[in-house]
Amino acid sequence: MASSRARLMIKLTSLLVTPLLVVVAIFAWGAYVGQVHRHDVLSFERDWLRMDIDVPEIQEPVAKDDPSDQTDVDREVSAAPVVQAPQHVLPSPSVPVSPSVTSALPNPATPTPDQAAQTPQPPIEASAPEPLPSDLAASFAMPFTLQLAVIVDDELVEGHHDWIDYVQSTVHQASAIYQTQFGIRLELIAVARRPTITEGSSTDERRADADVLVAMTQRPPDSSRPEHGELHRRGELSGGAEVVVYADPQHPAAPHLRTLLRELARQFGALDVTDSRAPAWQAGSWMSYAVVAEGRDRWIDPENRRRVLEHKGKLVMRDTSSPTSSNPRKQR
Amino acid sequence: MPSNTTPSPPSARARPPANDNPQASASSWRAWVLGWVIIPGAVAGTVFLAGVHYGATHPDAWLMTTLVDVIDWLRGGS
Repeated sequence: MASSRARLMIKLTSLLVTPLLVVVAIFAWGAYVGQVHRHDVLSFERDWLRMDIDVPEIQEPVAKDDPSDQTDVDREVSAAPVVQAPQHVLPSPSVPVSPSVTSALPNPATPTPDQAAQTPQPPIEASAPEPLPSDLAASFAMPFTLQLAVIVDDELVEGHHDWIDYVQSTVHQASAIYQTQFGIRLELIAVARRPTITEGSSTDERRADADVLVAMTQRPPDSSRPEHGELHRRGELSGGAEVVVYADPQHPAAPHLRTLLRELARQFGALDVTDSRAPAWQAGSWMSYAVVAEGRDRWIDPENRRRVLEHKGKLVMRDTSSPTSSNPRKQR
Repeated sequence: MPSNTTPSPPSARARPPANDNPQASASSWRAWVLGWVIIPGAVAGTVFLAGVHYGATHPDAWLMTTLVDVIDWLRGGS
């Protein structure tokens, strides 16, 4: 009797719950599709259904289309070849290495130029960015804005009298590259000058509104500290990370750009490429310390790109998880 | 007073009824299509589109973050 009643209760419950689960599953799948294709959905609702909806703009690699709205720095950066999609040469093991990928910064953890030259690698023409699998494509499509506050030291100011423009230009170029590779827009919200920048000196300079505080110095990396890359990781991104961006003497045209790309990518989980025989090194990934020709130095290897995109999705979720602390600038 | 009509089994109701009368057969077909295809499809489609609208307009809601985590997990993501 009791078992019969229990069976009836189970049947009754399943009869009620199963349709409910089906409806919830259909709604959930729709919501997921709606979030992934948010821009298309909102555009359709605005253009075809005449709904009063603000459609967030998708940030293109070249940030501004209207020349009248551009500053001199913007025009200069837009015209620069570095904004274009990077073209790279991937190595394979039978042809001598390209002379542009030869040496490293004076870091004991990185191989010497001779080591790199000893491993003949053939260049294989490849276009970037490479196609992404569906999960990473969804992460790439998610709009994400990373706000930066930058402090510079006196040496950088002496080297660049138009240091504010220089910082703006560097961040602008990095933003264009990050948009191409990760769908991440970098926004410079503050620039300040500080007499000296040392390890950890930026802690008291943290800007509450910035996601990352960037300390930019004219000095080259401190080769006496092999672990300098790790020393710059000061915490989780949403908690206000701090990075030190040294000048890279191997890339005089844009000495801070490649370092900035590397340091920010580290914040998203990218790892240094320290093996000079690795394809990523040979191809000139910015996570390596390889020296590559100007214009070919704005590329990240697929493995690190995947890491960044994976962390980007999580950061988007984490940053927007609380309705009370939701940050609309993350989703633009 | 007991009823003379007995409900047909679910398997019989899930198929379009066969009838010798052509008019009655066409009407049954319409009823079957309406009851088993159009109305359920419309309800499911409405629920799906409501989800799409909600997901597009509230991407930062806690429900969406939870949902995306669950779906990513189901799809084998980390």
